[in-house]
Amino acid sequence: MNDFSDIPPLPLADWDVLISGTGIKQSLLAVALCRAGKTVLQLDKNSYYGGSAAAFYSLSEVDAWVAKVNSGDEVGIKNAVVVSNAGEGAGYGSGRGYTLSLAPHLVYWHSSVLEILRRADLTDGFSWHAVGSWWVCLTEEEVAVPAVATGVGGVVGLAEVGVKAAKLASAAGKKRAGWNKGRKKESVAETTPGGGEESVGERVTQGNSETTLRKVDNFREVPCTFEDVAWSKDLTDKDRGQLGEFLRFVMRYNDPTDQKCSRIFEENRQTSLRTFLSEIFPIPPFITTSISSLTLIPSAPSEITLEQALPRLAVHFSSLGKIPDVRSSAALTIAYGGSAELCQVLSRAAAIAGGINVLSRGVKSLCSNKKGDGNRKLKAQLESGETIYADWAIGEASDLAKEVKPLDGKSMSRGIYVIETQIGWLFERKYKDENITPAAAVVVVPGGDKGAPVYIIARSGVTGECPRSQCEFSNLKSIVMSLIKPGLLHAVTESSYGDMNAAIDKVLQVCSPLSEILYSLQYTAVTTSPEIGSEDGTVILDPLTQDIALQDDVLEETLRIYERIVGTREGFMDVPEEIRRMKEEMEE
Amino acid sequence: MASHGISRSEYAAQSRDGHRREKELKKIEEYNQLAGAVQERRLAREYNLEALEGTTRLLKINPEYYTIWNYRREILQQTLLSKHPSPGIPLPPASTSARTCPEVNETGQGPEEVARSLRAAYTSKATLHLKEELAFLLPLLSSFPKCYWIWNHRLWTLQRATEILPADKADIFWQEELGLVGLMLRRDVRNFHGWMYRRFVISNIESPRQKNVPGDEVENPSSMDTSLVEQEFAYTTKMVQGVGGMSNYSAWHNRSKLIPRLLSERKCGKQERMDFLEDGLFRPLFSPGKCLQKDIELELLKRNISTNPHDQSLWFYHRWLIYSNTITLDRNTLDAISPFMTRGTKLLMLAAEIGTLEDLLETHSGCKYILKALVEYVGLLQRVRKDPKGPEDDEEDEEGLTEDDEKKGSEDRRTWLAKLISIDPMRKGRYQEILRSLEN
Repeated sequence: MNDFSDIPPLPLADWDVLISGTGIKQSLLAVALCRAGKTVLQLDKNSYYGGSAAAFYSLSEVDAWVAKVNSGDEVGIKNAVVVSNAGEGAGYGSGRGYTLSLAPHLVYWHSSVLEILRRADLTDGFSWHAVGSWWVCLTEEEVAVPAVATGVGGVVGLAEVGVKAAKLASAAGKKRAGWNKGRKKESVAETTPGGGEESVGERVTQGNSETTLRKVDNFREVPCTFEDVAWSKDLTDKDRGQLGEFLRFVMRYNDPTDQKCSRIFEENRQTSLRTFLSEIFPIPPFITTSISSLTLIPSAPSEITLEQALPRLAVHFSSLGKIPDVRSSAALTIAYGGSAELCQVLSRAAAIAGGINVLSRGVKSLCSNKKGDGNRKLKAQLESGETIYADWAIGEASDLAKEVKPLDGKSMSRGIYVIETQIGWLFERKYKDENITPAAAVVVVPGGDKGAPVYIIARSGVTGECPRSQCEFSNLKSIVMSLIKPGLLHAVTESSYGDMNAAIDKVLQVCSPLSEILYSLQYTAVTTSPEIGSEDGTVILDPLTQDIALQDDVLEETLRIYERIVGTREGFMDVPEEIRRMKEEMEE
Repeated sequence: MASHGISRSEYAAQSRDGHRREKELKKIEEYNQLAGAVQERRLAREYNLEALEGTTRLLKINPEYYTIWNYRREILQQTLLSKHPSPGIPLPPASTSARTCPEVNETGQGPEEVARSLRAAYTSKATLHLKEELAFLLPLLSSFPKCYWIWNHRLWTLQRATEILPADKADIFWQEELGLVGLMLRRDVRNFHGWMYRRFVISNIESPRQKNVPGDEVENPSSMDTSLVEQEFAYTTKMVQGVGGMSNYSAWHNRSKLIPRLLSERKCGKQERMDFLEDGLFRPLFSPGKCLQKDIELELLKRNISTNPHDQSLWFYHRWLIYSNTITLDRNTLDAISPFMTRGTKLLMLAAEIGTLEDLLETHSGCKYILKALVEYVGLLQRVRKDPKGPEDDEEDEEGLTEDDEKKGSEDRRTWLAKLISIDPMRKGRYQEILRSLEN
């Protein structure tokens, strides 16, 4: 991080908009408002971009941040712990070469954020990588538990069907016994022992023409397409039918012309995903766990409501098969720090569009400009001693000198683990003929019946976030893993650091050679209750959520604010005509 | 083509902008000049490299101008891609490469050697020009993927390779084209133009090879050596397994076209064909030769259908499997997997399929495809029952297929049709018509 303290004073004291902070929403707004012709001053009290979505580029930067967290100066973050197992001689020195990002977001192909970046002509500014499959840790015993149809059967009158089907099946079974009488028996005999068990204990990725779903030890690829379901070895035909119906339901629940699906949805909005899946589409519990992992909500499936889950599942399913050349991927991620990189590139784009951004300069106080110095509504005192005037001031409460109280609500444990081991299986291509190799993957370690799962986002060295030979695990119970190279595992969970570590261990146990964690950073994100600005023109942003994927509400909030300031949502982020022409001419 | 996705008002607004308008006028002026110049040469029947260069520039701007593509082919036929004069006739030196001729004279080779080396020189030159022509088309294709004239010209160029190059050299061109088709179908898996192009390329690889198998060495040039049917069959398997592959109509269709050939090339006997059909009905994706020892219990089409019975493409394929193997027209046996089953076997197979579908209907009571299939297959069953018994027919096979069944079948069909009328009112008339035919 550079020290910008000797930067010259601001060129102007008078602005249309003051944005305090360089997080995702702040930076999106900065670009959009600059492009809409507003004069924008974007400040950040930190000496780095991103705020709660920042990335640290050396371990000493992490240490500085940890000290700040533990002294209570980082709003919404507490209990930061660093464990370093690598000696100075381990070739990892001051840890330069690592990018430890607080926001290694996944970006779904069908997310509104990506859509807006495309429209704003900004996607080229990033190095995008494909996110591979979702893997969920399930033992053979868990997989063996059959579906329990409790008989509520809202959809197709399943209750009555149950008994009848059983009768018919046996009758039909008799009738059907082999029209192909000449078939050699031996083939049938070989069938039986096969089952789904043969792969236990093997560390090699299972994949052949019989199933599209891979399995490494207890880690199983989550089925999310009709093809996966049809080819799964772990499902009966009946499960297949139910799961297929559920996939169809997810794609239609929002379609007003499909009255049946909308009705089921309306009746079950508040039903938990687990209850819904065991009663309406009775599928085995392990499949519920798998499906629930696609929501990326780090709560137990019994605590996720249908209303929360469906939009996320729908984005996942509708994104699959759409990314050219990686049809098996649903999401992308940005190299060099995920959303931290996004914040920096956006802030730069704001500067190109005429804005000014300045680091290491916070807002000390903000009030209505009553004395009438100029025409601006607001007057802000900066920590540098300068006074500026603006019609609008946008930022999180803590960035606008407003009070913030921690809430007793849920807190989220997060961790970033640097490992040095063979986790290449996570990044293998699902289909060999695809010509893009995933650089990230999602591993989910379920938390048992009531417990919260640990999400692990593994990021390979290809993301440029590790020195040449490692990979990182990020723990929102999420992991970043690498090839023999170092990797990062990011973990995210609502549960404890202990659960998070245990989940990381489970992944590492599958890796060979057995790896230890070189370095880890753990911290807790807490929900806060900000004071709402009372001055006319002050806009307090919601703090960035701890979501694993960049959610559409991030964009929705910025659009709302943009509309308040500009008067319309039209043209949000659009490149102004003069700039477009200039660019065209430069290209010619 | 280039104006797709741009609204008229947007376009009009752009041209009102004086700056832009000026630029566009200049562009139009330049284009008209170029087009005029090229047309002039065409009318003057100029077939030389300069004229070719003119078409290159013009077509890059406007690949929809098909007259110019025609002109380009005329030029190429007479210049870069002209045919090698047939070996019997002495070669006028001017018609071949100017560079090779002096060499020939100096070394004083015999006429046969001269001819051979001339041919080699011609081949390598023609190969180069063909490559250049294809390379010229590639960027055009990525800018205008839907322009028929570019595809047309590409095929012409490849066919020209077959015409003017030795078979092994031409084969390389087609092989590379197969790579390009693979790339396109990876991007757009259900594009039936792409699938058609693929079949075309495949047949161009297969047929010259077949001609080339020296007839005097092998009596029946085994098609196994030249056929790509196994490879293509495996390709369809991969495609239907991929994301969204289940509803890949083209892949399933291609499969149904490949299987009969595949079986005759594998020289499958009656029993093997029946096994394949059983696998095909239940495991259409599995290639019997390789994975017999594994997963025989998987019933894959059943798996696909039970996962998503609302996917029409699966039913097309299913219908083909059922119909082609029960109603056999002798002259058309090539279109089936197991065309020689006895009447009894057919009946049992149909009964088995109907049973499976009835089970499926229990879980998906509102799925019209299952109902439609049941109505059809029960009708088919009744039809096959009226076929004369063959000598091989076993009395035992008829067990359980009594007149009662016949009655029940008709009753079931009525029930299913009534349900179809209520859930699929758009095709009510058709269902009612079938109902009426049942009354007679």
